[in-house]
Amino acid sequence: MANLTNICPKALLGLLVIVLLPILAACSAADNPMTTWSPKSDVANSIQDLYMFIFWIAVAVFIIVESALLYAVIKFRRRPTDGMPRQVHGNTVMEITWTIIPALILVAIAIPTWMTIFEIDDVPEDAYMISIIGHQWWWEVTYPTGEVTANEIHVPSNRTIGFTLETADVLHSFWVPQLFGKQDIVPGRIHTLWFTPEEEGLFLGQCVEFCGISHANMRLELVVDSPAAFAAWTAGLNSPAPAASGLAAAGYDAFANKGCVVCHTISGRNDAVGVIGPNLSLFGSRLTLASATLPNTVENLTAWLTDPEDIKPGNIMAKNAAVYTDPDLELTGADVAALVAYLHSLK
Amino acid sequence: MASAVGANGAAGHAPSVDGVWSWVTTVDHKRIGVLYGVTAILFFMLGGAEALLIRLQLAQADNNLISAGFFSQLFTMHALTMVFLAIMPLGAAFFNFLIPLQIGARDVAFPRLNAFSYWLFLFGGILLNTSFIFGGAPDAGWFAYANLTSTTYSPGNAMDFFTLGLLVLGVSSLAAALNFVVTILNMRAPGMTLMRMPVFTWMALVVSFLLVFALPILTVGLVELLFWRFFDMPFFSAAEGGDPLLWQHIFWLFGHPEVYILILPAMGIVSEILPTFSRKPLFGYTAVVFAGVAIAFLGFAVWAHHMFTVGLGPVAVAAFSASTMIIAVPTGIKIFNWIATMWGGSLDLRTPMLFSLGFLALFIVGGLSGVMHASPPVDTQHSDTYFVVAHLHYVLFGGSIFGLMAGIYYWFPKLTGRMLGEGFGVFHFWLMFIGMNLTFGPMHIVGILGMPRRIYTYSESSGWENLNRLETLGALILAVSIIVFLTNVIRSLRNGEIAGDDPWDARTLEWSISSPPPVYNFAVIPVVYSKEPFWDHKYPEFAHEEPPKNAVAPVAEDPASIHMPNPSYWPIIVAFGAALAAGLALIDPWYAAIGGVITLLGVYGWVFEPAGPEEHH
Amino acid sequence: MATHSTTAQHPSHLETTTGLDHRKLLMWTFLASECLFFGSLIATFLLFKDAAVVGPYPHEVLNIPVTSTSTFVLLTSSLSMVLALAAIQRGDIVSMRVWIMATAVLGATFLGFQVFEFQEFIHEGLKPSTNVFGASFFTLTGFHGAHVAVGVIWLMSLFIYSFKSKDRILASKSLDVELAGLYWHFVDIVWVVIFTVVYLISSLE
Repeated sequence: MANLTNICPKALLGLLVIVLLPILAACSAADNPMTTWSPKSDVANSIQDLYMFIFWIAVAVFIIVESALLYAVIKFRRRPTDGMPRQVHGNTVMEITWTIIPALILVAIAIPTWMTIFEIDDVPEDAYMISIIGHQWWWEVTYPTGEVTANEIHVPSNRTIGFTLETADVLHSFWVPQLFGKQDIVPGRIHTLWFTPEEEGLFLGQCVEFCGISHANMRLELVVDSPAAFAAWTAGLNSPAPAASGLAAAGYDAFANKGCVVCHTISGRNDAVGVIGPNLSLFGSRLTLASATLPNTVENLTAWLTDPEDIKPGNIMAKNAAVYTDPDLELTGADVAALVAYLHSLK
Repeated sequence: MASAVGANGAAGHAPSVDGVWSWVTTVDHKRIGVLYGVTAILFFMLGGAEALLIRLQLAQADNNLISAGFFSQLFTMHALTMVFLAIMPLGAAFFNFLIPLQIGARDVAFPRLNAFSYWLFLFGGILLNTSFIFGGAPDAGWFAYANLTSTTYSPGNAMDFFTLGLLVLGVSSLAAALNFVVTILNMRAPGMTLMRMPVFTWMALVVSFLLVFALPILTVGLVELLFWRFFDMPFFSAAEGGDPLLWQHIFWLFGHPEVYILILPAMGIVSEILPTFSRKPLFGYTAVVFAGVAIAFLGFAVWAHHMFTVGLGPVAVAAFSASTMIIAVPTGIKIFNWIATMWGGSLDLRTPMLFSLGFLALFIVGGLSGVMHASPPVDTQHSDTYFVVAHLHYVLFGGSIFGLMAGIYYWFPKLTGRMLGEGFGVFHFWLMFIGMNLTFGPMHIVGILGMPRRIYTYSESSGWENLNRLETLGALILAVSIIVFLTNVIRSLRNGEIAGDDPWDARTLEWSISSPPPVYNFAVIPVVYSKEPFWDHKYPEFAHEEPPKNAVAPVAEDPASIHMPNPSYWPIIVAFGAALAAGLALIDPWYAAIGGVITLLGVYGWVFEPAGPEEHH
Repeated sequence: MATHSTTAQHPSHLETTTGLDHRKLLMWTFLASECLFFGSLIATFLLFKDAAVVGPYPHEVLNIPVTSTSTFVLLTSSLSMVLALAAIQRGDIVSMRVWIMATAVLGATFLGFQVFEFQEFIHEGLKPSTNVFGASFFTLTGFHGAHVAVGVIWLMSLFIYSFKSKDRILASKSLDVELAGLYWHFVDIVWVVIFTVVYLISSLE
């Protein structure tokens, strides 16, 4: 026979785990940069407000229904003195009641839901439209003024930002939790999404539609800059890099000799106009590399150039670039060091 | 007053019941139920092993226990295995074993078609899993969104194993569904109107109709995917005028009814156990039945809630949000009626009841998180994160698996004549309840914290690691609970307490015959006058409906003259031919003809198989 | 009154709750499933009929006069099927054989038209892989044709079977023919829908 005294505290513990922890956790974006509970834009706040309304209703329903269940189990458990319980078959009034009340609760949830759907849908006319193209497994970013970059998206803090979203290959999904809800990107379509930032800062995002072997590595960073910083950054994207010297100059040459120019563009170099891979202008100023998976340090960049497959399984560069597929053309340690110096000089 | 339920007579003649061959050729629904059940549990363990590997990889940030490529295969096959090879066949096991017993019939309408369904399921499951050794298992997720599934982005034949395997499994399920529809509509005992059927049988009927209407849609999608990959027919290729979203629509038009196919059997089981263990009838029988039917209908109107983030446009999104919220109403009706069944009862808290209570408690959680997803703006933050993974596991594990476990503990005595050990059962329950909450509870949180689905790794700075560790611990506890369960089964088969006909003082017809039942089930086909014929027979003073004054007596039969359908080897041959055709098509579509020939010859053999000894009037 | 029929495994004293023979109920339920199957194929076709990026396009290849003829042939086969069932129900096995053979021959003729049409299309540059119109057209009409082929084989089997055991197909056992008839008429009705959706509608554009 089940030990009934065990049911009470254990069930309560279960209830606690399920209900309280979400409330205790989830708010600190410093520890959890992808949290959805620290909205920092108008759109994200609208979503969160709606969610909190639904969430507390759900918590209330949970407490009421689970308590009824628990109460029934305790109060009506069989005792040796029990006779045959009354063989009740139903009660029409109760059926109607517990049909109508949930229906009303759902209507209460539906109305703000629909309002929010339409509020979020249309991109405001004055939005600053940035073009995003998803690739396996990186993000191509093009500004209305023509600058092209990858994976690290800067936006000004003083206006509404909009995105047009397309894919170059398979389904992806564009998501920066603190700023907006996700938008899937379907081949053959152009999607839009928008938000107005509330504060400056660095926000993390990730692709959230399984897009192949390195889906987990297709991350991004969205930097909300002051208008001045933003202007400087976009100007930097278009300007030629400072003249390379020393090891960086060797890297400048290696970038051409080793075939990198076939796939990558760098502003100010007529020989580097490849569009197969990410645009590497201003690479030295980027916070991360390999689509926001690693901090942009000398050590990490060296590891990446030495063995990109190890960091991002299946990546196109490791599969197609001659330096990785042809043992005779392999990069030497010196090559790598030179390239690292060069790329980090692109500021 | 004529007895509504007869007693067992002498044993009727039966075919040889020993040996492998008797199992290979069996057409007895009870044996086929056992075959389904055992096979499903084995596949469940396979799917669980896949889950454990996933959890071990995710227990640590930047882990490299499992490679990215193999991880994709694991999460894909874990889902495919659990959905198609574990939960659906476990439901089929119960349908097979129970439906004739609950409606007072001696077998299903088409015993050989029944056997064929099982063998095709087994071969289809094997076919799907051989992909692991032939170049890799399917790895594009269980819902296999185009165009990742094209030959460009999924070279090799992993996705062909997916389409061909699922096509085979679909035929198996469809055949079974057709059989159950005819059985339930056509073979009920005299007096058993539809509104006197046990709720489990009602849910089986609803599930069977869902399969009949949903499977062909999936079949078309799979055929289009197959033709795209094999013959370059550009159904899902945007550049050539096709549409990747067509796959999603087709898949979810099947996929959403599919989730009701997965949960309704468990709901039916719980609807039987709660009354027995409360010593009260089911509260609101009519409401529970109609709610089940309503869920099935509405289930075809909500599919695009799986597509809220693909860009359908605000009007479509709002419409599907509305239909999704509406479906919460009949679901709630069932839950309230179940609690009301217990209310004022005399509750027996043995293992079947524990699992039923667990089902209720956990399904409520899953249902509530589902309502959250029904709000599209909120869903743009939840979709494709672990919050959805939490939701689906609360309804599928907490719901379906707990319900099916309840059913196993409840009907094991009827099947085998022995009780499952109660001590082990309670231990199994608590381990599973704790393990389940520890594994899937934190997923709500880690999903809120932004952890996407289907990622093989994450960095330490994400803040997800501790919760993932907890989830992996929970998964290990779940694994132990399964070992406890299997131990209980094996021990009980050997030494379990003898059950007798009616160990639970139950209410429906299957408890009126011996445990295990004779091969012909009922010596005398009963005449039924109420929803709970056996209960009313035992406790006429508590019966809800009086038998009419002009009650018809059951037709007396000499058990020795009851002829059961003969065993047959044609079902396994036809199943083998079909599965072989699918398997050979992987090498070259033309080779499928070899399997096709075997199938065709097998069908002729089946159709022209001599009947048993002829009946004479 | 319930009708009783005997097949390999069904004793004739079996009464069914609905009064319908198990196999008839099975066939109807199966046909319900087939409605969804063909419905999904038709939906795909409707989605893609005007979406082709490269030609040939529907109006360039679809031949209404020829297909109208084949449609007439298939519709006539439903008439002969009805006559076959009527024959066996009155015990006239010879007429039944004639009408069953006629149905099979008309069905095979329809298939011949299909083969001709498919070859014409391929000759004109429309292969299944050419564009989405071709893909959805060939899939829809191909599966329909496969269903007709299965029906023809079934009818031929009934025909041959009727010789083998003289008492197998008798008036009281006309269910065998009736089931084939249900299937055949269903396949015919699906063709009417396909003809309308694929051929007639595109001729209006």
